[in-house]
Amino acid sequence: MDNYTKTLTAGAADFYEYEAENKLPEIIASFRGHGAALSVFLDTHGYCGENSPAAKGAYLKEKFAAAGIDPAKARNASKWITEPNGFERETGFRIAFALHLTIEETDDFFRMVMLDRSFDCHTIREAVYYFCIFNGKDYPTAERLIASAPNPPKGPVPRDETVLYTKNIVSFLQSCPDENTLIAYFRENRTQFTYNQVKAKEYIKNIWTQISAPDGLAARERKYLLEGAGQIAAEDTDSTWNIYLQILGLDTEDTRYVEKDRTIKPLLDNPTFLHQFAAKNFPNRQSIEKILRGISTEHDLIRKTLILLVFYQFWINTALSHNRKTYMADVNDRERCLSEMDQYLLDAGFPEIYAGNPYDWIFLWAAGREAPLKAFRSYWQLLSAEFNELHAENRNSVSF
Amino acid sequence: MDIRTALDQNTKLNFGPGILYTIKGEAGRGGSCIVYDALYQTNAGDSKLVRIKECYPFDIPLNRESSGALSCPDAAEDKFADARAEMYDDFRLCNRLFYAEAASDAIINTINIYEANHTVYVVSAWSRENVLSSLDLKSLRDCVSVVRQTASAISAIHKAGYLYLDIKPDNISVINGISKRVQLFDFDSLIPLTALKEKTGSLLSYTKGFAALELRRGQFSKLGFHTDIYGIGALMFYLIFGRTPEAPDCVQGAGYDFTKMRFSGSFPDKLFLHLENFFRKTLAAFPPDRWQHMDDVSRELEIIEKLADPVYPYLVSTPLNAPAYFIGRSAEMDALETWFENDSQQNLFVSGMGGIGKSTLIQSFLAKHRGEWDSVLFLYYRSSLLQTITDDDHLRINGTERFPEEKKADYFERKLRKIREILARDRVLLVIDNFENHHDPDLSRILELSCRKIFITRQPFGSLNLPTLKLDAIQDKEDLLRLFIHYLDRDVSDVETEVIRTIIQQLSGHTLAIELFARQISNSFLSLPEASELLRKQGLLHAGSERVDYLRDNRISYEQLEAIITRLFNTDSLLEKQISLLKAAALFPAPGIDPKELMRLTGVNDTGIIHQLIRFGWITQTSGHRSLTTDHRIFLHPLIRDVIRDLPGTAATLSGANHVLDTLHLEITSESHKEEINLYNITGTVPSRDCHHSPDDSPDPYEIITDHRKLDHSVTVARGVIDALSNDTQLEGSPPAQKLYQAMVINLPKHEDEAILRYGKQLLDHPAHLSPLEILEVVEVVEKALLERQDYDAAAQLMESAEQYAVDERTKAEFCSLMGNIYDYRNAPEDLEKILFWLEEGIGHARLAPPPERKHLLVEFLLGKLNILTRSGSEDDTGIEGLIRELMDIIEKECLPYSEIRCGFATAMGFYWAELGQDRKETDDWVAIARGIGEKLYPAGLDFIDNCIIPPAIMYLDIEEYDASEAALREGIKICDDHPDLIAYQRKKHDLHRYLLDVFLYAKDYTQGKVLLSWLDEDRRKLGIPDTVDPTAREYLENL
Repeated sequence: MDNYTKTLTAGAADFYEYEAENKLPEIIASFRGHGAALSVFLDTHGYCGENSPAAKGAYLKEKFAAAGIDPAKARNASKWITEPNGFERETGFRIAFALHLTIEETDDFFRMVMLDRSFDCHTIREAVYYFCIFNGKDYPTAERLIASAPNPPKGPVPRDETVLYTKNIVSFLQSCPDENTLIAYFRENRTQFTYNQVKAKEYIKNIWTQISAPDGLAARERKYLLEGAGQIAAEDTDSTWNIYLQILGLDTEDTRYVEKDRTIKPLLDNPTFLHQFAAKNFPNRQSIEKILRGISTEHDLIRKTLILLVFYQFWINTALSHNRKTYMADVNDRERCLSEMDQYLLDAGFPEIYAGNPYDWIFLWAAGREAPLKAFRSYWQLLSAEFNELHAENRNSVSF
Repeated sequence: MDIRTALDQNTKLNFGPGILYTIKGEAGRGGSCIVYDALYQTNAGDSKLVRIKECYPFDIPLNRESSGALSCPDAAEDKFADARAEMYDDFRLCNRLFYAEAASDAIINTINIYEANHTVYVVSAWSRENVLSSLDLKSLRDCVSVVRQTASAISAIHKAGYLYLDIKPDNISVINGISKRVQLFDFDSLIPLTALKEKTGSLLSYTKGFAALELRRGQFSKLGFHTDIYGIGALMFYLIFGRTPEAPDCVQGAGYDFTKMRFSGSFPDKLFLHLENFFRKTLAAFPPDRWQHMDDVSRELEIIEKLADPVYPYLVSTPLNAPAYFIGRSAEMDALETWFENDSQQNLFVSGMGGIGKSTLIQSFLAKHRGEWDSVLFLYYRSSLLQTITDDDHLRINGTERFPEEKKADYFERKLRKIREILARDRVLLVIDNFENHHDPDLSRILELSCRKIFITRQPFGSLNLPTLKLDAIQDKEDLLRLFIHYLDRDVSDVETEVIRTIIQQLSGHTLAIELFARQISNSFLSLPEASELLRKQGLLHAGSERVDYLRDNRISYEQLEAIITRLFNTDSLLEKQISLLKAAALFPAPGIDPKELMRLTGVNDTGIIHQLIRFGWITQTSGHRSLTTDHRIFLHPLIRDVIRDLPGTAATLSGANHVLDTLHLEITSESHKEEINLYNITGTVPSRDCHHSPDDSPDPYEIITDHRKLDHSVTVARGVIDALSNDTQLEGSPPAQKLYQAMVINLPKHEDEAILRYGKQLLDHPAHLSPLEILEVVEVVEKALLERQDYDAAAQLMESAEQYAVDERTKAEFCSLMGNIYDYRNAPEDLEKILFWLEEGIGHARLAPPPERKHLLVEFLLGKLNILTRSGSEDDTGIEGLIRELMDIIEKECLPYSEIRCGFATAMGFYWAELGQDRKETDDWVAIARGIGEKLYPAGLDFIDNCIIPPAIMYLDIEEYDASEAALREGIKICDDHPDLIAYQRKKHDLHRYLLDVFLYAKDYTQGKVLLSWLDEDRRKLGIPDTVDPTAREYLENL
């Protein structure tokens, strides 16, 4: 664990819910942008030159050229170091080729710098990258293979066709003896390469079913744990929107201002308390419904949704398993929760929880509290209160 | 990026004289080596397969030369030398492990280590056919055995101070012998525990599907025995399910779907509990949640291996599902929990009527505690316990079955012995449902078995003093409401909710009936109010023809309600006399009847038959005690009642019910108007019509008075019976039923005018088995009820239709009396002549009527005539005196001391002295006589007011004794005030006030009169009755 991660992990464990309002801005400000992360990554992967964006940019250009990658693709390399918002995913793979990273190092690069998963082998392009990096082939070879591979059809996998899990594809890629076999495989399975994140979506669907079933976790939480437990539920309690609000602890909050489109998007626009990386692709009602319907969405969104649901599933299961039905965590529960979250993420092909990722950090911080789910909810309640306060002021300023 | 170059196929590796290996291809790569499949020639000339591991570290930039040798840059030479030395160490370690006691033959036999190509090679014995990944293990036991041996091998490695870290089928060789043996190979990943903190991620290789989270995360400081334990769990998971475990399999409390195992067959439930525990303790994502020592794993695997043995004897559990919907019964569930926790109570009887939810309760309980037993047997009692136990389809012991020639009794003994053996080892729960034969000869032997047992039965099992849980209907009405709505399968409005509550009441909260009826409504086009009405009219059995799904005794049927319920309460075993008693008991719905009274009414003397029916669950007793004391009531549950009523009605099966009807009829008619019988009837000189007293009784005539308490009781019971007869196709409308109906109606208390009208009209619509006189008796009470309501038109209409029953002198006389009533009640001056006309007509018919009623009839008319003449101020003194003489003559000779006739005569004489004699004293005397009789005859009620209050009030008004008149009326008003809820009394109270108004007017107390008038108007509106105040008086008072 590098110092940066250590600091954030320590920071995450260091303050209580009631201190959040004061501590959060400091934490949010301390997260690295993509550029800073890339700079650190270069330092730990062979760069020994001057510590300046220009020098590191030149180094990358040089590496691009040496690896047979068009240097023009690296003309903004020094900006990659300075800009917090980073660069395209494709650029990430080019850097991996340029630095001759292994599969594991590429995974690390994407987790720590891109804050994203690495290879999505359900796309032909990234499956080719995987094949090439695994077998020590260079970027031009990858480009050539991509050009000769068939185009996948549009739309989801036909209903009568078995969906290949990423694991199966990776297994093939690792044992694929040559390029011809690879291309033949793509031809044979071309319909499979339209459907991303199969495993992750399957996990999300299963967990959502466990949460939203009539006697599911959300219903049981209302029955046994929430205030007024045992009362007959209000109508529509099991709708995606209401369960979503319940998970975030916003179901009892004043959500008048955000209910119009049944989205909490307006709450997320709060750079003081929520890092833009965390706010970006934040799971919402629409995205959950989209995933449940099997519609392809961004990796980051799927990963974030999986984290949110696993976190809720874990803590409600834990709370319900107590005889006294409490949100309080026992010794080891934090580590157990993080282990299970990582297990889900790794099995779904995503990077594990990383303290340097502002979204992941929220969960790490909450998991370290005495009552993690309540702490997590207090975070969103803080945002909600902030939002309502601001809007109440705006509203009061309107005259009739 | 792995840029290592493997040796080409067919490369020869010559390690010395006669040691020549030929590379067949690359088998895999580790962090420090490349592994090859290779062949060598034996001295016999055969080819033998081996594996060769070449030291070729990933992180050293070695170059493969064309000769096959590896060249190393100088800078890395030391590192490469270390790697080679490490391979020597590994080889020695492998040898050491090979000869270690614990792992003697579980580690692959490394043949030798050689140096060539500037590196080192380790050669191991190898057989591709035996690699676990290429084998198809045929049984669960084989899989467990392989995993157990692998765990044992890994344990030896652990004991030697190493972690294996790459458990997977590719690294395990299975040797077929008498039993399967496994050997591990590929020790590339082996690391000493002491080196854990020094290792870095890139140096370790692992296989994703079999690697624990900490290994995949690269958290080497967190590796431990538990990391290999995960590998063992993953290996077992892979061999059983054909896939590697994933996140949902590794979370806390993960569940595993064993129906997806690769192996079919029958296994004890216990096996799955152990497997689940095994996976949870090996696959947990969080390392501390796993076992920490391989010995724990091995111990559990030994148990699992035994359980997976196809000849392992165990009781095969009955497949059970939790009830699809279970609600309420928390008290009963608590009682079960208490029983469950108390090990000293081996047996439990759960009793309650059919369909009340006994089996569902137990199934729900089992679903909750299923995991706490090794086997759960849920048996349905056959004809005997012997039959039940010996039925192998029903109760199966793995590996035990009946021999073709074996007698059932012998097999029973053998099976019991086997069961006892199993019970000494396993925790078993035995449930026997439908257990109704409490005298089964083998019961005591089953009770003695050392396991927990639940007997589900309809009969309370009291005689052996065994713990019993008795189930009644679910008490919480809201639970029942939810149950109904669940099966109705749609939302309901508030109004519909109230209808459902009524339906639930109609079904006495019977859970099965509620379920079935709700499903039936759901399957029909009926609205809830329509369904409720149908249920009320037809009963559940005939409430509809829609078929519904029904699960009973683990079988699903799709039938009409009638079929389901009739099958639920199978009456085949009932004797005729039992059916007869049940049909009689069916006449007394809940709250039922005192069992002793039922015996009296049915003429049954044997209490045993009732006890038996209670024990069998056919009859419900309101108390848990078994003795038939007076405090208890018995009744048939509505469902059973429906079934019993549907049973064929024969003379024998209906005898009990008919006896009830006849007895009640007799009790009413013999008590009713007892005082009106002729004196001659008492002395025995004249035969009686209805008198059932023995001539020898010769009771005191002064004691012969209707016992109204007794009569009212009989009438109330009869009324319940008449209600219960509704829709009884066998009894309703039968002669005994109609006779009782008639007797009940004409004896209903006067204040029950609503009931009189309802029952009376119903009876008059279908009077098939009644005589004209009996019909006219009904007409009389209905007419009077109408007249009391001042509904003269309806009364006239009634008489129009009643005329057809005036068929002889007796009935014609009765008809005349009824016609006279109309005018008498209306009391209009112009009606006087009409009253006299009908009286004269009646007298004419009465004189011609046959004895013994002739004189009785005649005296009634004569009395009527005397009343009319005196009250109308007739000047025909001779005629009046003649009437009085004739009346006195008959009354003295023929009427009992306390008879209505005498009371009526005294009243008539009071009028005579008031109206014609204006003699207060004589009036007082006759009023006192009438009151004396009236107090005996009419316990303070409407009849008393009509006969002993209103007449004297009128008399005193006529002789201007206003205070006496008012006092009489106030007494009547007080009686009415004692019955504020009875509308008939409130109407009477209004009448009394109207008389009081007359008193105020005559007494010229206009102030009070005016106040009373406005009260009367308001009261009239409240009661919805017509204005009967004299218009002149009204006008006068209003203009004051």
